[in-house]
Amino acid sequence: MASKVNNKLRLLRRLRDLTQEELGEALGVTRHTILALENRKYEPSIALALRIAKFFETPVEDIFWLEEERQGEV
Amino acid sequence: MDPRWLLIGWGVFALAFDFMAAYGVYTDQAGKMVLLLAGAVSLLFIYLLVIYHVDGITFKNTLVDERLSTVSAKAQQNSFWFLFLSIWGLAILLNIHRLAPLLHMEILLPLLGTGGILIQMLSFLWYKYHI
Repeated sequence: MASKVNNKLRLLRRLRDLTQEELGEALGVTRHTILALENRKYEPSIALALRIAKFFETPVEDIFWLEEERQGEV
Repeated sequence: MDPRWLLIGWGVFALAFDFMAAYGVYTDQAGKMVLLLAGAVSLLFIYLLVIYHVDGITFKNTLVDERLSTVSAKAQQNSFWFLFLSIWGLAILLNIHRLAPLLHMEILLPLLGTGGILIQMLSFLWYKYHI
């Protein structure tokens, strides 16, 4: 089932010119978890969401948002 | 340390075990434990190769990956339901029919246990890789 939390992880990763493997390595998760997050098949824990926000130096709410809040974006 | 060394190290370890087992079989001195250990060590090496192929260098995060603990919990749940339903089903069948094959509990119960483990493993792989 698709997640109800949307994110722009793929966009941010591509802007930094990173592979899923490199991002997984930086965040301490497997490449498949990055894939699942980007395809919205997995909602991260608060700790992982905060680690992602810190890595991209972006507020967490700019990366993750509830689907019904900003439909049609990204 | 580069995690690929783990793969290489385990590969050498598995090869040594397999060599020992093969030598034991050749000289007719192989104990069951050596064969079992060689099989287990080789299976783990194959699994490491597969996850390295799929996840690349991040395979080293497999044990600490938060998503995998969720996946593991779901797989255990499936296995639990299989055991719960099959044991109740078996009990009901025994009460109603008393079929001769159903009376061989010493085979049926280990089979159910093995089925539970297989369901756990297959569910884990399905949830992990079906994205």
